[in-house]
Amino acid sequence: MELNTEIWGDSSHQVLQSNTNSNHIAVSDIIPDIYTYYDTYGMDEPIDNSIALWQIADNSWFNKVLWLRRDSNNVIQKAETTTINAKSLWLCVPVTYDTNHNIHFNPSQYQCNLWDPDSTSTYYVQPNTNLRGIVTGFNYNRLQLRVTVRCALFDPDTKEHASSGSTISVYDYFHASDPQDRAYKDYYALEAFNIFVGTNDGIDQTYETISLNNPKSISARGRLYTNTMYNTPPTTDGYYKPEYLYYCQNNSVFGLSRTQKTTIPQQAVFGGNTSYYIGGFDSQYWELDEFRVSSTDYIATRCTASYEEVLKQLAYFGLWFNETDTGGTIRNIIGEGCTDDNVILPEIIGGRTTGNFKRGEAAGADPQATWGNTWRENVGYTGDKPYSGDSGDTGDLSTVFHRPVLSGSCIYYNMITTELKQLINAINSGYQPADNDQFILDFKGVNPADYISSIIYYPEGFTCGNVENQVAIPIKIGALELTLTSYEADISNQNIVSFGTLPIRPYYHDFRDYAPYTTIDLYIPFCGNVELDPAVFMGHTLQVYLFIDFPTGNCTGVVMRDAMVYDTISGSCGVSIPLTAQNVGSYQNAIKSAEIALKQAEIQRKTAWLSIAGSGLAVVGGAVSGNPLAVVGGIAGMLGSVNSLERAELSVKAAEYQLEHIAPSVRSVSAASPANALCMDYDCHLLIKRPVDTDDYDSIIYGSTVGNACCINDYLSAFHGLTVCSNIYLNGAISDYISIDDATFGGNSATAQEIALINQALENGVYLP
Amino acid sequence: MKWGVVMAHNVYFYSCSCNPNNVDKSGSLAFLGSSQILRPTHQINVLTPAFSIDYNGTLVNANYCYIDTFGRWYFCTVSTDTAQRMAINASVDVLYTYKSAILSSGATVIRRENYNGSTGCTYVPDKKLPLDPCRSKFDGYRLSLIANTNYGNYFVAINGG
Repeated sequence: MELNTEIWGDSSHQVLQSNTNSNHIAVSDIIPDIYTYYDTYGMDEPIDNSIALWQIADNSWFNKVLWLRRDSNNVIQKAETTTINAKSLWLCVPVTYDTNHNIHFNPSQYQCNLWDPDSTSTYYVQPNTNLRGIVTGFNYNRLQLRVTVRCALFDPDTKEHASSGSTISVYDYFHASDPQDRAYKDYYALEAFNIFVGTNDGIDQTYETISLNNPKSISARGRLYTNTMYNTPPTTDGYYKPEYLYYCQNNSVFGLSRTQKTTIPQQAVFGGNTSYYIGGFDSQYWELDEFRVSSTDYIATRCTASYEEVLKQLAYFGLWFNETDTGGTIRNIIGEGCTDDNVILPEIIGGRTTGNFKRGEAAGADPQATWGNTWRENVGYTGDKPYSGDSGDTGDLSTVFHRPVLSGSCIYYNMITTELKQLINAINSGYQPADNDQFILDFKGVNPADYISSIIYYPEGFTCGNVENQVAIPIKIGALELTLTSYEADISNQNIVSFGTLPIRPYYHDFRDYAPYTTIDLYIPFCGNVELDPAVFMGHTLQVYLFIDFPTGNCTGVVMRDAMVYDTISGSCGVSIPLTAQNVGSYQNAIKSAEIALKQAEIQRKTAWLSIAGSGLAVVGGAVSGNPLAVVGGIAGMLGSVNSLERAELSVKAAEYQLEHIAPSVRSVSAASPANALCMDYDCHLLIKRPVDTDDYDSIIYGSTVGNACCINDYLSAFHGLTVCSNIYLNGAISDYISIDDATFGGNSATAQEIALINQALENGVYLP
Repeated sequence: MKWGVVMAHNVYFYSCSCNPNNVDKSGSLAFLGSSQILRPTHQINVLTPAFSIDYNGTLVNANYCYIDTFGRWYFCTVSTDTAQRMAINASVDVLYTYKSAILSSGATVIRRENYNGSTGCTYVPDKKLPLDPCRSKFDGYRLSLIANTNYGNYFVAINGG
C-alpha cells in the first residue's frame, strides 16, 4: 500500500494495521444522532475484508478530484487536473470508547482511548492524540480503532440527515509539506469528505430513482476546512475554525499534498455561476456542483456515470451494498438488508480495493461475507455461511487446560537472588567446625545439599512468583527449619503462560494465501520455530501458550487454532543452576580424612619411639657382649629410628595443621548453562511469507488474456469475458436449431463439424458477452 | 425448386471490428451492404463457402458476412477478379452463429475473466500467474508475552516439610 508520507506520524497503513492488526474497519452498530452514525471497529476476525474499507483506490474517481485554487482576486478557480496514487485515508484520529470497550472516533475528544482486549485493566489513554507525532506511540497489538462513518445525506442547508441517501465521512489528519509549517503549526485540521449516491441533480439524492436504465451519479462534498492549518488547538466542539485556506497546487487530492496558504475566501465565485466544470468535460472528472462559504462550508461535486460505473466506484470504497432484485436499485451502501440475492461485495486485494465486485451468491460465498459474527448480523447479511461448518465437521475439539500440581515431598520456593544467597550462606555458615557435631546430628551424615532438588532460574515473566495474598514461610531443609523465609511458588496458577491471540487473515483471498505459495512460521520463545499450515490457520485465530514444568525447567509450546490444540513443541525455559562447588559433606570428609591422617601420624610417631627404644637395648647388649659390629649396627639402627621419629613428628604436625586449616566449604552456584535462550526475544513472532506478483503484472489484463484459473460448473451465460472451458455440455438445441439473432434469417442445424469447432473454440478460450 | 431456376442466396456484408473469439459480435458489426451470390458453377460448402458477387466497391472492406440461405455467419475474405465480380472466401463463425445456444450450454470452466461479477484469482491454484520468483512479501506479527506475576527468578525445590 502506498504510504502517505505527507501525513505526519506513522503511515496510515501502519497506524491501523500495526496497532490494530486490522486492515479494515467494519460497521458494528448504529448510534442515533442528528446524523446516523455507523460505528465501525477494526476487524479482529479471520477475515480481512470488512465492509467499510474506505480508501482512495487506484482508478477511483477520487483520485481525479480536482481541487480549487484561489487567484489574486480571491476568486476560486479550478485547479489543475491531477491523479494521485492510491492512498488510504486511515489515520490516527481522536477516538473515544464506548460501553462495549471499543474505540471509536469522536472529534469532540482529544485523546485516544485504547483498549487492550487481553487486559482487564482500564483503558489506556493517550492524551492529545491530535498532536502530531503522538500517533506513533501506540504499541498494542490488538487495539481496536473505531471510526465513525456518517450515513446520512449531507446537505448543510436543509437535508442534513435526509434518509434518502448515504453519506460517509472519514476524518483524517494531514499537514502541509512545507517544513516551515511543520515547525510553526502544531494543529491540523480534520479531513472530512462525504460521498453519497443519488440522481443526476447531485444534491437531493434519492436512491429509489437509481435504476439500470437511467444515468446515475455519485456526489461528493469535501469540506472546505480540509486544507486548513491552525496555530491553536481545536475548539471544544471538535472543529477547527478556519483561519487559512490551503489550496492545492498540484498533484494533490484532499489536501494531502503540497498546499499553499491563503486567507479563507469570503465568497466563492465561479464565473458568476455556481456550477462549474472543474474537471473538464470528461465524465471521469468531477464537476463542481456547488461551493459555499458559510458556517458549514462545503464544496459539492458530482460525476455522472452509468449504473455499472456507479457500482464500480462504490466498490472502490470497499463498501458492501445491495441492489433490489427488480433492477439494480441501490438500497444502501453500508450493507443493510444484504442477502445472497442482492449483495454486492467489493473486491479487496492486498488491502486495496480494485473497483471490481461480486454479485449475488458469488459474493455471498466469499469469505468476506461468510463469517458469522456480530457485525455481520448488524449489517443484516443473511446469506449462507458456508465456512461456519468448519467446527461442525471436526466436532468440538476445544481444548480445556488442566493445571495439575504434583509436589511430591518437596516444597517449591520462589526466591529472589538475595533469598537464595541467604540460603546458601545459612547452609555454609551454620556448620562451622565448632558446630560440626550439631550439623552431623541434624543430617546424620547426609549432605544437606542433597535436600535441594533443583535451583532453576526463570526469566522475567515466566516465573511463578505470585506472592500476592501469600505469607512468607520458613525454609525447610529436611527436618531442619531455618529462620530464613521465602514464598512458596505458585505453580498451580502460573504454569501456563499465554502469548495472546492473533487472527491469521488471508491477504489475497485466493490460492496465493495457501501453501506452497504462502508460508507461516511461528517462533515460540525457548522452543523454536513451528511451521504452520496456512490451510489450517488461515481465517482462524492463532493462540500460543507455554506450559512450564517448573521443577525441571522444561516447557511445551502449545499452538492452538481457535480453541483447539493443533501442535506442540518442546523446549526449555528454565536454566538449571548446578551445585558444583565443594559442599558441606565433602568438608566433613575432609575433617575425617585429616583426623585419620593425624591418628596415622601419631601411630607412626609411637612406632618410631618404640624403634628407638629397641635400638638402645641392642647397643647395651652389644657393649656387654663386646660385639662391635653389633654396636655399630645398633647405633645405625638408633639413628634411623630417630629419623623416623622426626618424620613422624612432622607428619603429626602436618596432620594437625591440616585439621586446623581445613577450609569450611562454600556453597556456591556455578555458571548457569545453557543460558543462550535467555538472550532471545520472550515474545512469539509470526512471520507470514507471501508471494508477490511480478512488477508488470496487471490483474485486469491477465484476466482478459490468460484468465484466472477456476473450476466452475455453470451455464456459460454466467461468464463474461475470456472463458476457457474443459468439459462442455452443448445445449441440445444446438444440434437441431440454430439460434440466430435476427429471426428472419431462420435457422438450421449445426453439423458435427460445427459442433467440433464450437468445442474446440470453447476449449481454446472465447470471449463471452 | 424448379429446374433451371437458381435459388437466390442473399449475402449481407459487414465490417467486424472485434476479436474473432468473441461470441457476441453484434456490437462490432458495421453493415456495408448486401448482394447475391452469382450463379454458382459448383457446390458451395455451407461451412467454407466460396462464391462470387457483382462488384461493389463498398464491400471491398468486408470481413464478415451472413448468408441467409445457410443461416450462418461467416468470416470472409474479399478479392476482385475480372468481369466486375468479386470473389468471396468465407468460413463459418460458429461462435456468433450459435451464440444463444452456447450461452445456454453448461461447461466446466477452468479459466475465466468474470463469473457473475467475480473477477481476479480464485482458490484454484493458477500456475500461469506471474508470481515473482525472487521476492516475497513478509508480514511480521508479535504475540506479546502476557507475563506471569514476577517475584523472584529462582525456583528452588527443597525436600522437607
